[in-house]
Amino acid sequence: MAAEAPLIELRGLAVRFPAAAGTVTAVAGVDLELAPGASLGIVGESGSGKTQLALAMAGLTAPGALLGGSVRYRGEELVGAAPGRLRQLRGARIGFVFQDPQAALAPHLTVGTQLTEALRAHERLPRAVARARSLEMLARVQVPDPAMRLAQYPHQLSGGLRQRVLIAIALMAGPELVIADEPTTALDVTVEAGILALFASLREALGMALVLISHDLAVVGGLCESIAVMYAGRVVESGATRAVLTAPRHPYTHALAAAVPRLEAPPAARLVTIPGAPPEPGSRAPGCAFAPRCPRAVARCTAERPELVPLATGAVACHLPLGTGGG
Amino acid sequence: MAGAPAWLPPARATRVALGVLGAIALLAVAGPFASPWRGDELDWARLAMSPGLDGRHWFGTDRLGRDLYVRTLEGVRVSLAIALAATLVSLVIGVAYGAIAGFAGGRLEALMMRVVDVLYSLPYVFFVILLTVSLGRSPATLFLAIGAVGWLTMARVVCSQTESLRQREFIEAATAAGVPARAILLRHVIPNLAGPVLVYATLTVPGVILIESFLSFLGLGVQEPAASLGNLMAQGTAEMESAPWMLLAPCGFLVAIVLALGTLGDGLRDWLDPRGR
Repeated sequence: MAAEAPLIELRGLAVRFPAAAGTVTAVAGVDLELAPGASLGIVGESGSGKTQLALAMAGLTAPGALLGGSVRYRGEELVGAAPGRLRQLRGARIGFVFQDPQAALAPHLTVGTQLTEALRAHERLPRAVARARSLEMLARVQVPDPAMRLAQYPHQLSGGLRQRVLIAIALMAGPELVIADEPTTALDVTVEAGILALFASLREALGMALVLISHDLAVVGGLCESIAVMYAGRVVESGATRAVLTAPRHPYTHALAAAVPRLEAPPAARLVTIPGAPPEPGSRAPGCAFAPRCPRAVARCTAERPELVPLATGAVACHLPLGTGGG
Repeated sequence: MAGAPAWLPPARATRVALGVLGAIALLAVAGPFASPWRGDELDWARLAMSPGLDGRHWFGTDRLGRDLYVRTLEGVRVSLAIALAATLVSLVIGVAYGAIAGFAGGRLEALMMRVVDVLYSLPYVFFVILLTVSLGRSPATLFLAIGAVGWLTMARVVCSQTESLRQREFIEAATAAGVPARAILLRHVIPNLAGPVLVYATLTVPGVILIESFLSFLGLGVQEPAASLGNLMAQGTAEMESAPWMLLAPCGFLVAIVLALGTLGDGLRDWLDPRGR
């Protein structure tokens, strides 16, 4: 990793929103980096800040959001960059795939119009060339009969096809980095498997880097080389996917992995849950945010917030990480 | 309907409405030539005569013996022209102004909408009197006066619609694909405004005809001997008990126009929505 300059580099990234009483912190200082062609999964519960983190990486946070820290794309600072420059980067360099393909496709435009629009926003191309490239891209995301689909409207497509079209739109201008925010959450399980396989084959064919946001460890585990687990706006554990999933160091990651329902379990077995609920984004105690729900918490945990400490295989933010004795 | 050309809207009611409006427009332009009378000609032998074939006054005559068939059609022509022109102006200015304000949001939107509020609060009649005094009395002035105020409501409707559209995910997705703001406004926002804008525009036409009649009644609009639906109805109202046809002829046309426009607006809205196609 050290040999190659990172494609995108986050340092102390914070996203806050002004609220009636002070500010609400969605992301509270995240450091991440991603090499060209690499893949990173960001996992967390709802409200952990993963979506805001993803939006900030593409300069898409809602107007009014207060950004802190830095996001560098190939060394270029994106926090506070000119809107015109951000527009040039979006689509052409950084593609974004939204969660709900029903809502993210314009209902009144044909699939073809939306595909060519994404391309022609960045390159002056004759209509015929843009159309040919759209057909090619639809075939690449494995949409059957692309010529017919080009003339159709989103409501004439199934959910899985819509998500493929959305991915095709994100890829039209050939980005080096694709950020996918829960791309399979709105789909059923069989369709989800197809979309994940598509991401894997696209990465192989196009060599793009991928940031995949998900609440589902299995989705990330199958697709990403490294993983970052977020809790209450911070990364609590990161590292190579296999190491994090097989030997989690942070009690939260451990609990998350244990909560995945298993088919081998006897039918009457209770589902494993994590007791309690994540803290409200507005009210953050001084200590570790997970301490109130943590079975291993000691007095130090509620008093002092643990920093992300590098380990042999990754990094963890915990005073008493698992696998270091005492557990 | 088999055999109908493909470019026509599919709903039958819409086609009928389109046909009715076309027929009224054609009648308003060509109809007066079918009568032996002119609009300002007085038939001293037949004053306030009820409709019939006598003297070929098909809609009867008014108190001065003028042929109501010709005068009503001339009135339809004037009123339709003013209404369509004023609606078109309010459509163009209102949609552009409202969409830009709503899409920009923040301070620019607040500033633009406060300007609309200030214009709203100007006393309308006073404003029209000022215009007629400074520019002279003519259908053009009337159209300017109505158009200048008509776009305000349209701008408000469009602005609030645009604001709610802006938060839709497909607009955000277009932004994420790097589509420039101008293209988003033209291709994603404005086409989605078609529904409320069309419905509101079809409501504006009868509204403008009523304002025109009110201004004509005050002596600021279309003046005798020229006819408009507004001043014909004002005269007809005065004779309502003794000669109801003087009111019924212009009213009938107004009702037909308003009904046909309403149906047409609904039909066009459905037709423009790709989900209904």
